[in-house]
Amino acid sequence: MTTEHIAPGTVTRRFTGQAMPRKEDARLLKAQGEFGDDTPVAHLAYVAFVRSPYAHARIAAIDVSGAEQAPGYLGCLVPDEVETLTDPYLELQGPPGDAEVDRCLASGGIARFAGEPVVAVAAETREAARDAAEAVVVEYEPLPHVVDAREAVQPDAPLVHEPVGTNVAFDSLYDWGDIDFAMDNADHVIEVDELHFHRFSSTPLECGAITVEYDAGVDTFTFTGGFATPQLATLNLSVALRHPFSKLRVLSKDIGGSFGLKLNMHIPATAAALLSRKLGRPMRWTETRTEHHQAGGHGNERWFRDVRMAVQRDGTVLGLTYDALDDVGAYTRYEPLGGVIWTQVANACYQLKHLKVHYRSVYTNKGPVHPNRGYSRMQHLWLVERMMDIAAHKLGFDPVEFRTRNYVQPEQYPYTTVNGCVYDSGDLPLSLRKALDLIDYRGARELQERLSGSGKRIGIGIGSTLDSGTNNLGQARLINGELPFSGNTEGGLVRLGADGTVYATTGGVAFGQGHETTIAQVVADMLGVAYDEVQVQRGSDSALSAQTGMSGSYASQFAVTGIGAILNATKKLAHEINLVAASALGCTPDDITLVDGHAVVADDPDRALPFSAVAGIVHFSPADLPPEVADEVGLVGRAVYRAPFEIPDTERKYGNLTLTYATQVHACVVEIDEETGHTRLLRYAMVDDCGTPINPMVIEGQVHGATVHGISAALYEHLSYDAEGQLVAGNFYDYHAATAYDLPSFRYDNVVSPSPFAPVGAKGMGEGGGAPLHALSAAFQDAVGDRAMVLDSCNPPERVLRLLRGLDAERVRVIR
Amino acid sequence: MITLTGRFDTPADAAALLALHGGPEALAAVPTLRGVRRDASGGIRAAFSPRGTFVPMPFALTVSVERASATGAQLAVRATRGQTAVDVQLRLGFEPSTSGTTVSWAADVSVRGTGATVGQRVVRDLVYAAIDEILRDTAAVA
Repeated sequence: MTTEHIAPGTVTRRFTGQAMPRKEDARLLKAQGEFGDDTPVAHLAYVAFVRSPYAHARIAAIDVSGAEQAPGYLGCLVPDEVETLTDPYLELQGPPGDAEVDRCLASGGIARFAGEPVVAVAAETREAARDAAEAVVVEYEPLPHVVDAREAVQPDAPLVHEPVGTNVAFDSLYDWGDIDFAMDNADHVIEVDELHFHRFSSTPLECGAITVEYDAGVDTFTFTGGFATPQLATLNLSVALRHPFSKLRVLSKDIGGSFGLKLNMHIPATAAALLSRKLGRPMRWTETRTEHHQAGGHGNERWFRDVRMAVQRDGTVLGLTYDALDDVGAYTRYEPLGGVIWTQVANACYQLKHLKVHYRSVYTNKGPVHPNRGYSRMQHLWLVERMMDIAAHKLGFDPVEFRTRNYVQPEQYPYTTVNGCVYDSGDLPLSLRKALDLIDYRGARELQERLSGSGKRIGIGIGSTLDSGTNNLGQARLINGELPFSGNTEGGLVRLGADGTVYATTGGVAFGQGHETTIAQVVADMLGVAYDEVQVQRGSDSALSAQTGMSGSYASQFAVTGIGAILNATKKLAHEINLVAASALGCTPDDITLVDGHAVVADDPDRALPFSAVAGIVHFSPADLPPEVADEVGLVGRAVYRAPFEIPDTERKYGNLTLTYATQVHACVVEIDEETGHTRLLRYAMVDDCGTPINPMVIEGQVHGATVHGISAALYEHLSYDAEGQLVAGNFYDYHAATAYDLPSFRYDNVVSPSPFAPVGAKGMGEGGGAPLHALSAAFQDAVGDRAMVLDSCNPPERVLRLLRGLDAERVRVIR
Repeated sequence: MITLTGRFDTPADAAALLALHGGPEALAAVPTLRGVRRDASGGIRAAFSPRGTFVPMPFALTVSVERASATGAQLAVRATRGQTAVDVQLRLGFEPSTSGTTVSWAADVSVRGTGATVGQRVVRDLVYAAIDEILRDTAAVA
């Protein structure tokens, strides 16, 4: 690994920037983690859902008499009860999509996708609950269904939500620059009929798991599970359950992955809460893998139609236009935020001047989409990368030179995009050079030539992408001007315990990213204590004062907001330590430095107090302190990090939507068997630039993880539906998630372009921006030349075979 | 949609087979059916436990006779269990034979829910076995 571009004045610290071993790993590797299904709870009962087998059906009758005979059966919850006991969840979209009514069981007595929960059954054991659920007989009256967004927007399409009156939940035109001028005056215009970004999921190791305990004595619900945004979940639960916000507590301990998918856990939690209150028992629901595939959230499927790119004779790309149909499935839930999230990376990695996109979020009778690693940006980034690649092939440019020419150049940062976002820093040309070196680009080209005609075909691909992190939640106003969101904050709390131990609590929610590790690193450096001496709270707790309303883990922001809040909190604690030590040591607070767990008089190191003594004075002998100091200090630093955002211009859809932009450039070499279409990855390289690293090992781990997700999506994973609206890939038999057997040894390098906007120069990262999807699509294109066109993001062997036979060549045209 | 076809011989004549439509009492003798009754719309309802499943797995069965004559019948059948639903359009043909009747059948089958998703590799064989079994058993009590 190399580091470059370290800004002058960057502080070299003892732990920050080092590959410190992860604090979490000791327990996780010994199977001592505590995940959603692990926590022992007295008198616990279990929940199972009866789910609709129909893509769209009216529920005519529900007969639970069979379940009542099942051993261990405790009770159930049906849609009519839910209609009576709950209010619909909050919707983000304005009219007409806000007429959608979403509840935890088939809303309005209509199931809108295969796998939608219809009845919740509780029993003494998990097995009994599942058996009882199997014995519930639901009579369905099938309704016409629609599973293709392109058909869903037709005037005669069946409506997924009758009250909405259309299947278009959100419709917006984004028009920046002057695309007509670009198209009219460009030397070349490339036109593509349609491209498709497919459905897949990050399939976290741990599916959903929720435990709900209702304490009738204090009328309080306690939820334990993988809630990625605990305060927003509490808000949604409060509204749905008509229960005071103050009487809801949301906890998590270890979480086995979320990738955004667990942002909607409040929905099954509502059913479990109702059953807990109804039956007077704690309830646990643990999602099966098939349930997760059916209803746990899919990544956004998107159709890009009437795509045109304007290119100059010298290879300069002027602009791009397309129509997007984003298939959100049966309920919007976190959508239509995806309808604006993609604009964070409107320019992708390039100096586009003109961009026009007509974007529609479309209901279909399929599982709802949830944010999924690279949420909504990945789709647009793939489209732009695909068009860059297609244009290079069709116009005869070298794909490396074509990208390099159009990249945002290092000297252009901070770079303002067509829509007012500000790319903070980066060096894409250098990243690309490093990626090409890692795959031995020249050697790969020689190999390609050597194997020509052998039955094995070599393809070389490049994927350039961005990971925008730390959202300006004001962008929500671009989808609905009535939404009361803007800016972004995170909270943190750092305190000195009675014995001088340092405790840190973040408002963020960890689900595998190593928060305990990175927090300990920065706190240890700021307080001058050892890494192992910082105790970081595992999991999250909405009852602790560390959280803000926006707390949680989403949008690649922890390294900025989470660490920023912890640093601010640590600063406050350090100030209090200095006050106490100065008082005890007879100097001014400014004379104190914190070194090796001691408060030391800077110019007289013999005068020092260990933190245990500082804590002892405050906790046990405050009378030793002057009253004005004793009244001020509690040895608790609680702080918020506020990302410096303004509210975007909703008329122009213009403004800075994200604080940091990590870049990733991937390059790969694939070998395609011309007889079978099987693809073998020969070389795969990733070059990451996420600013100043806090822990390079954690970063590299995140890059590896995102790469595997992307490769797997590009080659194997597809949550496809048949014409009846039935999910074809309901578990890992039919949905192959890549394992080590499918992958080569990765080649990794990095570039360091510190963010001028972030607290320690670190950028949010880890989502990865789908670079492998871009790189592999480009590799297939490279392998087939312009005799076929790669217009789909998933290319399993059967599709590769069709590519080898000229698939979709006619759907791409150079019209000038 | 899966299309399945089969045939078998039964000692019963066509009239006896058609008589099964007359009332649920006769069908109650079919060993894999329980709780046979006629619903308000004239359809037959029962719990059907096909032998082909390894453990007792009763499906809620609804059968509507759409057409019946001496030469054949057309039935709409729905079997549901938990989150699996099987919808069948079943066409029966009756052909007299020296030993009784040759029954030929053709079924357009839609399997939905978990049975379709998880069971897609085996569902064809299971549904074939279940249809063949219930038809033979039913013919046997005619």
